[in-house]
Amino acid sequence: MNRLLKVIFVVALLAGVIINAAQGNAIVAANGAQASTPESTAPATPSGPAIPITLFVGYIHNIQFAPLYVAIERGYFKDAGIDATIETSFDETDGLTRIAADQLQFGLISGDQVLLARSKGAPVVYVFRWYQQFPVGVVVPADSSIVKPEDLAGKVVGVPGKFGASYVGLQALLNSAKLKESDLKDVKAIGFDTAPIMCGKQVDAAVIYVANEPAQIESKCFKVRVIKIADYANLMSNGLVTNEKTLKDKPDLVRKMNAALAHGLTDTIADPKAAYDLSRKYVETLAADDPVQMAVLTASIDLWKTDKYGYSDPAAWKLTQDTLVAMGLITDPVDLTKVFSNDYLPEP
Amino acid sequence: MTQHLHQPARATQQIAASVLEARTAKFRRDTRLNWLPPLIGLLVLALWYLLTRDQATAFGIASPIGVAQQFITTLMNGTLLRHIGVTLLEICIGLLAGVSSAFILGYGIARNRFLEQAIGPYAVGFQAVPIIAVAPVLIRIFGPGIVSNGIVCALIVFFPMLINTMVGIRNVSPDLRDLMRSLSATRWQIFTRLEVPAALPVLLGGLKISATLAVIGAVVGEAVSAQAGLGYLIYSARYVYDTSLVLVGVFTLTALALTLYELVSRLESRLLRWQRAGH
Repeated sequence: MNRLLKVIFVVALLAGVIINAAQGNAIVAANGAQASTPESTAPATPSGPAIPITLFVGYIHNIQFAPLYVAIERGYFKDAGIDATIETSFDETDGLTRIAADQLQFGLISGDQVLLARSKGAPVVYVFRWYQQFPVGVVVPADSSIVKPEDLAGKVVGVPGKFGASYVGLQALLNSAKLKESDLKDVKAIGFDTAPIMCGKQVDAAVIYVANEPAQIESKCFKVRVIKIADYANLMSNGLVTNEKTLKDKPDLVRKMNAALAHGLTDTIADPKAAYDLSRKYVETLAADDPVQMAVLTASIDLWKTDKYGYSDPAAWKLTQDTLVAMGLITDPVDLTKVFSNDYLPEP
Repeated sequence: MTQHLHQPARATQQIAASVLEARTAKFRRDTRLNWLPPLIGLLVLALWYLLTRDQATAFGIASPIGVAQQFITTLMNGTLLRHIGVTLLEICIGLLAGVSSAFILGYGIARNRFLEQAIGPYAVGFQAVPIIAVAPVLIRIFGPGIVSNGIVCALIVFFPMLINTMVGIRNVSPDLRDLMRSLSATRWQIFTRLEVPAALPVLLGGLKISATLAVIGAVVGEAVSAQAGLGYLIYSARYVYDTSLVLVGVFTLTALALTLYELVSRLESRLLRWQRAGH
């Protein structure tokens, strides 16, 4: 009997944990719907049911997505008749493949991915440039002799992997300095946990995301200096991507998505503190007042600022394609007019 | 008298005939369904071809012809062999380190109550640690590359080998141990003449699982940091949406796992020949 009670207790405990976790997931999944709660500042929904849209993002919930949270929480999507839900994932290629197959209609995807997919025949189109500056850079210790891209010659440089936006960024930076990868002593694939590798001085320099990683390294070991790739080669970065079918069948939906995103961006840039507070609902680990995360948001805002929200610069697309062609990742250049469009942007 | 002399010979002939008959029946049974795997393979191939015939779907799924062409290209230009070589090296490091350490620890836990109490729970609990979380720590310690990936591989193959060693050694009959001791056998003699042979079927079962898991281990390691290897080939091909190259990597990994399994199976049938002869 005693044993039976123990078993019942353990089963009940496990069931409680599972139910609790399921409820937590439901809250996360219903993030988009939360904007319609009575506490929300959302304006009234237009007549007719809201269109459910799953917005794919290639990372976990993070302060760098603050404009999305602001747009949801302040009802900019709802106001446009869109019931937006965020889907987070580490697999950007999977997200873009699903957008190409029309299993998803929208995602925040990097420019290089769009070009690569397009070169393989994927009917995807980049419709809103979120990051105005390519967010990747090269970090070195503050006392390092490396101060400009040319100084990387003969050095060991760490990259997360020999593919992806970081590696493309490094190649573009080397191209800008008329260097080749063979001019470096070595390019090491060090994974995504850069701070310990840098702190252990296993590499002379490392390719990082400028918004968050320099702050992380500085908080763990020493002061660093960042060479922003955007200062030498401003490649296309993350933006809103959709597919040709959605553009053809629902052009208004694309315009509304762009407008809501632009609204979220302008609000975040205008009031980072409010955006930070709204983001806490989505980013579980975000403390009420975390200076490092606030610094990440501030650094990200610098990468988003522009006077033409969403506008894609054709020169940046050409530069990105030229880099991918030089790397041998694209053999036949694609028609750039089909890769992106500035025709669905909100009025300034 | 002559009749009496012929009787044992006749009996031997009868036994030989029945053994032959039994073996023939077994051979027939074994070979009766041999055509089935290739047929299933052909059907899957045909279905795959039909589904990907339309070029519009080529972006999401590569066609079998595209995969075959990619396979030949990468094989001829040496790319595939280079990546196979790196992954094989990682697998060898992983199997060598993982299997040997698991065997030593598993034997210790099986034979020593103190070790079982002290280390057993940690050894089992360690299995639940996600390797993907441990891998960055290994990179910090050993640096990125083949050694780190080999150790990731070792961690993955460790557990099945550990459990099988413990089960195999514990299943050795205590009576036989007592018998060996009564014959003044040394510890080493008991280990080499009794424990290892008796536990061999279970140990080789563990080695079979470890050999296939080692392939997964290498791929997991290459996901975290690598500059070559079949896992790296798959990840980098995914990045450029080269689905045919992704499948070349996947099929090569599968072939590698099957080859390793087959090698261990052959080793098993060679090492356990005495067991079958005994039956």
